[in-house]
Amino acid sequence: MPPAVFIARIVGPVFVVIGVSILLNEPIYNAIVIESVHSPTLIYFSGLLSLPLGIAMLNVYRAWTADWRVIITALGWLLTIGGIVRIGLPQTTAVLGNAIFATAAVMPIVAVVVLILGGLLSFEGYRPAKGA
Amino acid sequence: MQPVVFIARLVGPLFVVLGIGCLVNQTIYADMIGQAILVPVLIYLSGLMAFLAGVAMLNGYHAWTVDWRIIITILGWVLVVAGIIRIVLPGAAAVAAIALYSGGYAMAIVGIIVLIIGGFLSFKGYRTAK
Repeated sequence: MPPAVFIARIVGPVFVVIGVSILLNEPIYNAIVIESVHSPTLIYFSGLLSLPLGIAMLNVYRAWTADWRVIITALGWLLTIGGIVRIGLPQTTAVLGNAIFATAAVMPIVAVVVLILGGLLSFEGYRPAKGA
Repeated sequence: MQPVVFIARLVGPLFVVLGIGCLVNQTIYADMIGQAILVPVLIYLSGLMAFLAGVAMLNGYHAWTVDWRIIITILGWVLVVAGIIRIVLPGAAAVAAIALYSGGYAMAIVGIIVLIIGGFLSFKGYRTAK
């Protein structure tokens, strides 16, 4: 199985669950964001989770091809940069988190984007391979 | 790619960022430890992460060779043991953290050690193979 497909099989369903969960529990997720930006420890933990995940993804797939696999590369870089910022600049992360999620419409937009990405990656990851 | 090189490619950059983060944000990191030891859930979560990472590393590489790769084996065992202590004895983990980080320079020393190990592992992981 190509590495990009394997990553899509893991990230796709995770994103679908996260997207649906945000849409169903928006007030709880708003509370999670508010709690997180006030706790450097939680920012640090989220950085600690996202940085190795991003580096691992980029080590197995990092090509900028003009097809769905570019999502994997972009996500790998986003996780890596997001992890570096959270670990290296926790205060900046808190300010950014506050600013981004201050508008009420942001959370549903994030949820829909995550859901669409997750659905696309799940489709590409789990559809039968051509000729199979 | 050998499993040990892949592990070095993951752990190396992570440690570099952790080391720099520790040195740049010494006050924030000290506050973080102060906060974490008061919340058993955070000790438990950090133990869960450390234990899983350690078991994964030891499954990928666990030889006691006399070269740079021994760092991976040692790190794997340190993570496993630290993870077990944090999950099984969270109270002891909190006491140990207070004792370790009570010194004024503890955070800076930890930052420098982590940065050096991270830089070395990054070099070994990403240098072009002979």
